[in-house]
Amino acid sequence: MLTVSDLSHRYVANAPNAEIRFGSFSLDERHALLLRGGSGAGKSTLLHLLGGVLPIQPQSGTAVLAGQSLQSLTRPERDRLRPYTVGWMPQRQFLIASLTVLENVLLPASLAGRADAATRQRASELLQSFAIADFAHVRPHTLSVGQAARASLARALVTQPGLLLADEPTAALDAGSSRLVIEQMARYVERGGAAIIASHDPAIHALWDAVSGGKAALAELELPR
Amino acid sequence: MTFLLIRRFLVERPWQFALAVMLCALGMASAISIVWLQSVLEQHARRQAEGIDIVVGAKGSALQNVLAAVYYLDVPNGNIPLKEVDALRANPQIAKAIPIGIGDSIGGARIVGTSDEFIPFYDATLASGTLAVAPMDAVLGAGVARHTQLKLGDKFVGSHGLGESGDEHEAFAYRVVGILKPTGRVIDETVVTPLESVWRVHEGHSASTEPEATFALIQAKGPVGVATLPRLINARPGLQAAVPALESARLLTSFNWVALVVKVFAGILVLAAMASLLGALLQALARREPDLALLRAMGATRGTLAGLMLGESLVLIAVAAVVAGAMVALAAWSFQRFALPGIVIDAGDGFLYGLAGLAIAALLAALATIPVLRRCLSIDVAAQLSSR
Repeated sequence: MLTVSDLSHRYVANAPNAEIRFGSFSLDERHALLLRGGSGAGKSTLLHLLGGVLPIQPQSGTAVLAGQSLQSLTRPERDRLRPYTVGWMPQRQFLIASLTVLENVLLPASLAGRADAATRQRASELLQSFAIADFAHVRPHTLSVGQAARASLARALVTQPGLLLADEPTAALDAGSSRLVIEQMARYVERGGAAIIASHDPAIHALWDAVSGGKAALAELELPR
Repeated sequence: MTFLLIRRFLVERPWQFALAVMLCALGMASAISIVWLQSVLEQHARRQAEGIDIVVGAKGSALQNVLAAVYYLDVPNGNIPLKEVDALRANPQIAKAIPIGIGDSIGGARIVGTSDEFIPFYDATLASGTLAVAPMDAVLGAGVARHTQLKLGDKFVGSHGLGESGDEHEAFAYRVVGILKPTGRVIDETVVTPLESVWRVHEGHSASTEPEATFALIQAKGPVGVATLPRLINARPGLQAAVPALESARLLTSFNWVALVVKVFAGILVLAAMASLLGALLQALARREPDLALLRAMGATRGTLAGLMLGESLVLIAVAAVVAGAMVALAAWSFQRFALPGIVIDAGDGFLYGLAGLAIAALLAALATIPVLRRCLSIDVAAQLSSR
């Protein structure tokens, strides 16, 4: 699914001290990777590189996702990676306030012009299984933080992407909401998906093991500061 | 999805949207109204002089003669013998020579003593009553009838001069025998009576014992006549020929700077409207940067974001254009109803001016959107997605 070799990123060109090194790793279907590291270690940056939001600079290693070298992709090609190859759950819930919860969930498919009946059905099922179906037609401001996080995860999964990128998915969530979110991620991985989760939350690994019952593997990658 | 987002983005803050629309619409409407009004007034001035190739009056200022004889805006230089008008009628180059005698008014409207050619000359027709046949019979123009509230059979006296405060000729009452339909020309604001009425009211006021007229309105048979007749007329003692087209053009030329100022002012208003549009769009963009970054993360291309901002700008300008159109229509109606009732406003012309104004506004709106688009396309998606 994903192979990363000697990947690094410089925010400031020609400044070796501003380089973040991610090393090499790979990720297969039915596997998840938990990115660890302190603030500034580059967890979000790695997600942005793998999701095609940031370009991989020349001589900064390689990343091959679903058989495509990310380095060789143009910006429009990287844009097309999302949302069908890569599903994104951003660090903040980032629901668009002027759309309903269902419209938010359908957003990636709608932007790709593929919000057909099957996708709508899948969106409704996701809302149902994430226990927020009653909020489908209301604006996001009526949701709690935990409900908004679930809606954000439903949006990342509605297109059935091969790789889910989740940036601090349990930040600011209570224990119940964290469990629901991690449970849904584990279900997605069990069904053949792959996920990279960037998180400070020390409870995630134990939570993952508890909800997945060992059916979905979670490895850890500690990024050096 | 793009249309849904544009609609939702626009209505999520209805007061800000309404304010941006109103500022834009006010700028556009003011600019269009100013330029259109200038054109309406110029057209109106030209229309009053239609068919009058030459004005023959007493020696003096040619412009004053034109203003007094065509627009009834000034006092005449003096009178001319009626026999001179009869002599002009005999000239083979002259199609019509209509004598008019002016001096009095009612409610600010000129009482014009003239021949029975005068009413057909202005293409006027009776709305009610009959034409004036006897001295002191009066036919009211449509505007005069409206604002004096005089009806058929009513009697009135004229005041000396053009103002409403002149001495009244109380011994000489006119009787309303007819009322004309509106024409959009100066005759609407005129009381038409036989020339003999004016002689009767002013009997003994003139040093001359011969019948007189104040002016003769001349229609030449062709352009050669228009070119040659003034010299011929000016050669006659006591007569002066003035060509309304030339005098009006001279007058308008001397006011060219006013027209320029008006156009510059209109341009400033349009620019102000576009600045308000730019401000509204930049404010909206600043508010929505996280949403736009999210859209990019969800797979929206930079083109989609550009389409969103452009669409929002176009919807705003389209709504503002409709509001501006309504404002211009209201301004035109008010102008015609309350300011200058005699002016005919050509709706077709207004539509063209409106269309031209809106095309310019739309072009400027597109220009105003460029900096917004540039900023929109340079949003740092990674930074927005990571910001806490």
